[in-house]
Amino acid sequence: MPRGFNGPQMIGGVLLVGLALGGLWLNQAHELGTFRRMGPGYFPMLVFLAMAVVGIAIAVADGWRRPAAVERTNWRRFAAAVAAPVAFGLLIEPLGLAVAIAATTALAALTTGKARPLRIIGLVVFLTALCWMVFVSALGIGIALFPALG
Amino acid sequence: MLDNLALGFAVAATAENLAACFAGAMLGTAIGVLPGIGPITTISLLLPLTFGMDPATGLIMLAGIYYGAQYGGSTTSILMNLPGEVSAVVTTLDGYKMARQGEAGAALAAATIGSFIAGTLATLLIAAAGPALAKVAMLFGPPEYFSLVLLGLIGSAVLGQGSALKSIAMMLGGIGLGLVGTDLQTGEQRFTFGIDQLYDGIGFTVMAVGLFGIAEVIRCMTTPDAAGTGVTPLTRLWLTPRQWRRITAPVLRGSGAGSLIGMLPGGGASLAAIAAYALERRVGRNRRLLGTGAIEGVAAPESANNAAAQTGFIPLLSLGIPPNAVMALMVGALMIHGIQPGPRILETQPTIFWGLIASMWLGNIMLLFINLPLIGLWVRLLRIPAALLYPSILVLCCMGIYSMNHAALDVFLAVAFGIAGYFFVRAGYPPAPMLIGFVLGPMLEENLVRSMLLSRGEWRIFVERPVSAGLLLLALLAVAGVAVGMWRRRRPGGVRHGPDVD
Repeated sequence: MPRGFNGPQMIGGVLLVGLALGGLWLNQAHELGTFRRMGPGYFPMLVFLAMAVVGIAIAVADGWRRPAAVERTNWRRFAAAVAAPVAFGLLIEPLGLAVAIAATTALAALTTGKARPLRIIGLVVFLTALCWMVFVSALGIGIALFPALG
Repeated sequence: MLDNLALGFAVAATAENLAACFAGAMLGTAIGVLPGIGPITTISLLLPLTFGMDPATGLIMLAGIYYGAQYGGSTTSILMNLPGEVSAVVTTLDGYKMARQGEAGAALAAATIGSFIAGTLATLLIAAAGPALAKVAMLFGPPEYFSLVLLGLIGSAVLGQGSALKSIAMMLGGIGLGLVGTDLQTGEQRFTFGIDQLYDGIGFTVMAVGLFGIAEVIRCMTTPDAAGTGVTPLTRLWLTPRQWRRITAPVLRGSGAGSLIGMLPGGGASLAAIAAYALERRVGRNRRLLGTGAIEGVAAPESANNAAAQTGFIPLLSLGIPPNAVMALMVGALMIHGIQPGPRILETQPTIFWGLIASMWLGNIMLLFINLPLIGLWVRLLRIPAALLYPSILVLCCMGIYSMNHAALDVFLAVAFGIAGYFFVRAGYPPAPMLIGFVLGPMLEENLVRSMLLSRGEWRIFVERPVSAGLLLLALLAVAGVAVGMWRRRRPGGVRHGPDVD
């Protein structure tokens, strides 16, 4: 069994230690207090110290582990999958439900190889109707269906 | 107990709550049946729908979603060999083989009937054990609670799936995220960076939907489509008298093991199913047939995971401690309704406690009907192409999050959690402990501060009080057990890397 030191694999543990140090640095803003009367900074300090210790342990353990096979990410699909909900957040307020759903659905459909335009249009109409019925009509949440003109 | 159950049925049997239970079980099954989507994801996705409801109704619906999703996952495992989550992996071992041998109907029937029996037994256990445990918990002071929460945290990190160290790291990360917001003791703002929306802390739903819902959808969308292929044909959905006899003992053993494991910190449905299968392998009369398509191999784990799904509510409702990530979601849901889970829930909210228990049993009857006669509907659902399915789930996710506060920021935060969750799983960091840490962290801090006030800064209070010392000893044993296990695996020849599944 090949066993050797592998630097790049330590990244997870190193990031954790970094996070812990960042947390400790931010925590300076809060008073520590004493055992008897703990200030708002006491518990966070314990948490970040523990995190630093665990981070070091993970870095050491991972550094000596055989590299695990990592599934490769299809970055084009990943970008579309992330862009879809972001588009929803950006469009829902200025342009209303229908446009936001259309953009989200279209972007999400990009992640599946063969997207048929007619199918997607049908899906947009269906989802818009469904969301309007469930959220606006039944749950009474005030969201505009279409952009206000004028 | 009978009076209380009568009260429960009075609550659960109102038209509104019956409808909520049915809708939850139906929706849970529908989403849980989808390949790759397990109960945690299903509940996260549907959580926002329940916020507008009356607390009891909302919780009844969430519970329905939970066991619905649990059942739904077994359907996919048996018919398609595609487990939604770990608890269903075990079911594929014999269930899919049975389906290939033309016994799909019998396998589904065994899973459903076993689950129903287990659910009934677990409901009775909750009704008996819940109030007793709550009475004990009423005597707990801050030191006992601190030790209990610590045990819960450590137990769920080391007993759960994946690397114990990485689970602890995620749990600490969750506690860290739980620090954001206003400090309960002093009212001071911590880690809010002056952003108004963070004064109340990070939104629980935003985190859950992102970490489990969106991350899961991203994963499904970026991996080549596995869905929509190879559904085995259905056969008669019932058991022969011989099969009835074969499943009786496994169902009872599964119910027992599942009920016990469901209450343990870090236990939950997955571990219950695995343990029940292992038990069957050891003591079952047909143990040599397991793995070749034996009906016992379906009945035992399916009974166990359903029993565990229900007994998980015992520590949640009586002690206020969620034993696993699904129950942590339930804590979040309760708190959003303004209910503090804990021993006092029985006194202050008896309708919620007993109503939920009664509805679980009614829900199990409903699932019997949802699953056996309607199985054709779920099979058809499996044939929906991914190109339509995942965009729909994503849109509903976004709608759900946005509708809570009318805040686009919530959607962006959820996406950030989704991206993080995707990479966490890829790097072998299980996301479930993060949710548990997030929920239990504030309880840990509060009880630590109060214990120290009580003892005038004397740490020995935790070991001088017997109950607290016992709980800490259990936590220590859990850690020691894992350390021994890790050391054994490190020895030559002992290294075994299984696929990382969350």
